[in-house]
Parts: sequence; structure tokens; C-alpha cells
Amino acid sequence: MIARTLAAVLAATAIACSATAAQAAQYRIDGAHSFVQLKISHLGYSWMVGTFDRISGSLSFDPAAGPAGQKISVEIDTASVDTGHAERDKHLRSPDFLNVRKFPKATFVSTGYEGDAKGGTMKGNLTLMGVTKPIAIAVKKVGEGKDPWGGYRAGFEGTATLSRKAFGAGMNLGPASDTVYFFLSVEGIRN
Amino acid sequence: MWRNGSDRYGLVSISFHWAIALAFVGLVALGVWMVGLSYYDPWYNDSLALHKAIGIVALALAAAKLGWRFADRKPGLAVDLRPHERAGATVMHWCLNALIVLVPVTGYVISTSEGAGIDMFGLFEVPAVLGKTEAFRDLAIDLHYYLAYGGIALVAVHAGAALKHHFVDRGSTLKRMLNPRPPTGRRG
Repeated sequence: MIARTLAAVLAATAIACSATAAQAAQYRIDGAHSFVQLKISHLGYSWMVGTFDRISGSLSFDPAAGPAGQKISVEIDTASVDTGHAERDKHLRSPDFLNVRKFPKATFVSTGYEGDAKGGTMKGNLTLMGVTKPIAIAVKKVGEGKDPWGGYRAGFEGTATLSRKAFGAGMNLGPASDTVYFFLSVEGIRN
Repeated sequence: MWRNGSDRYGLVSISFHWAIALAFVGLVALGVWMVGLSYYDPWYNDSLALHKAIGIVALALAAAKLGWRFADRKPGLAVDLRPHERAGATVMHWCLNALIVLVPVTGYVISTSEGAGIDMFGLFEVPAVLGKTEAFRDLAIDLHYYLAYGGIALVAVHAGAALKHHFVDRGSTLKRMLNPRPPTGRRG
């Protein structure tokens, strides 16, 4: 009886270890250290800057596997848009802009990577306000290594632009304010 | 004259009633108008600034009105009202009393939900006192919207009832709210 239990425990441990080895390149996104920052021209005279405070997702970072080993899937809580101004954020959540009741999530799912372990272009489909379009994110690795709490982390930054018109636009903010510039900072914790 | 009598409203109560009526109807109209403005409209920013500042004035008026309501004696409803009219009027008055507080309070919660105070016509600022809580903020946004529109519907019923009593029933209710010394009305 004891021998059989021991054998079962050993077998389970072996399976768990092999699973860990296979998923060594899998990371979950640390929402507390990941940011989606946006900026958009105000009238052509200055920048309006904001962030989406809540993002989640997973990524695969496996330089040994080549471009096929680099993948990312991100989910953004659109209601978490924060530009530091209560009425503007209320307006941004409304149907004039993000329409967060109807479209509570925005997602980016990569479809292909070109580049090396230091950086490149991550292509994928962005779904925003119910519209899905391919976009390209210029990415580079910021750093990776052990963290002080027993985990292993890798961080990346990226930039992308999109046209509001391409995603349904909403309220007209003037000719200078169609392009939205994104800066992404994503930190993954290895599973 | 100033204070309420047993069967009549004094000047203070009458002034509060009409000032708040004007503020409530005006603020809802301003609110409906301002949310439809284009970004390039000259009033795009000022309309909201005015809505917020006048809203705070309306809240102060409502607080003072309710304070006066409990401090002064309460005149009875007009003697010429039927029982179901008395019941309806009492319920309506409490709904309106709640609305004139809740609508501006929820507006205040929305505008101060990210820590900024409310600028009062450039003279001083009403500070934000509540912390940043999204659930509370979203509830306030919904309540502000539905209570304002629902409130206007109740105001229409209230005003319609007053006009009906005045013109159809030849009652005294509207006169009581216009004149601190109304002639006593009797249903004919």
C-alpha cells in the first residue's frame, strides 16, 4: 500500500517536472508591472496622455525556438482607461469613444514575429471596439532574469500606432487627433 | 410673512421652491444640451464648468431648503385636496425632496472621482472628499443620468397636478406657492 502510494507520488512528480520543462518559455503577464500607455494629439498643440490600468495575458519567450517561439496574447480592460481627469475618462468610456459597456475588452493576439531575441516586429490582430485589424508592434527586450522573490521575469517594450477611423472613430476630435500612439511595457513572470 | 403658517407657505419656503425648481429644470436642460456639443463648440468646456458650479449651488439650496423644512412649521396640504390627491402630493413631495439632493450629489461624485475639486465660477474650489472608487463612480454616473431624467418626468407630473388643481379644480395649491398670504381656496 505504502509502496503503491509512493510510486503514484513519484509518477505525479515526474509528470509535473516534465510539464514545467515544456512550459519553460511560458510567461504570464504581471499586471502590476505592465502598462499600456496612449497618447493622442490635443488640437495639434500638445499631447494627451493616459494609460489602461488593467491588462492581463500571457506570452511565450523562447529565443532558442526562433521567431516561432515568440508569442503574446494581451487582454485590456477598456473601462480602466485613466487620463487623470474624471469627466474625460467618463466620456472616453462612453459610446462616443471606447463604449466599454458594449466592448469591455480589447485584445491583441500575435500572429507572427520577425526579429531576434533582442527585438523585432510583433504582428497580430488588435480587437478594439468590436473591430479587428492587423497591427504591427515594434518590440524590444528590456531585460530578463531572476527576481528577488524566487521567480524569473522577462520584460519587453513596444510601440504601435493606430488610426481611430480604422476602428470606428466615434467623436470627431479634429484632424490632428486621428492617430493614437501606444507605448507598451509588458513584464512576464515565467510559469 | 417669512415663516410658514399652519395653512400657508412663508416667503422663505416659496423662495426655496422656485429657486430650486429653476435650478433643477435649468440644469437638466443644460446637461442635455452640453453632452450633445461638438468638441469644437465654443461652449464645450464652459458648459460643463457652469453645470458643475450651478449644481453645487443647487445642492446648497436643497440642503438649506430641507433644513428650513424641519426648522419651520410644516403647513398642511391645501384643505381643498381629495384624499388620494393628498396621498399623491405627499409621496411626490418626498420624491422631489430626495431628487434635489441625490442628483447634485451624484454629479459631485462623478466630477470629483479622480480627486479634482469643483471650481465655483473661478471664485473658490469645492474640494473632493471621496476617495477614488470605480464601483461608486459608475453607480453615480448611472444614478445621475436616470434620476435627472426621471426627476424631470416627476417635475412635469408635479407641475401638471398643480396646474390642474388651479385651472380645473379652482383650488388653492398653486396660489399658496405664489403668494405667502393667499386667499383661502374652497372647492366650488
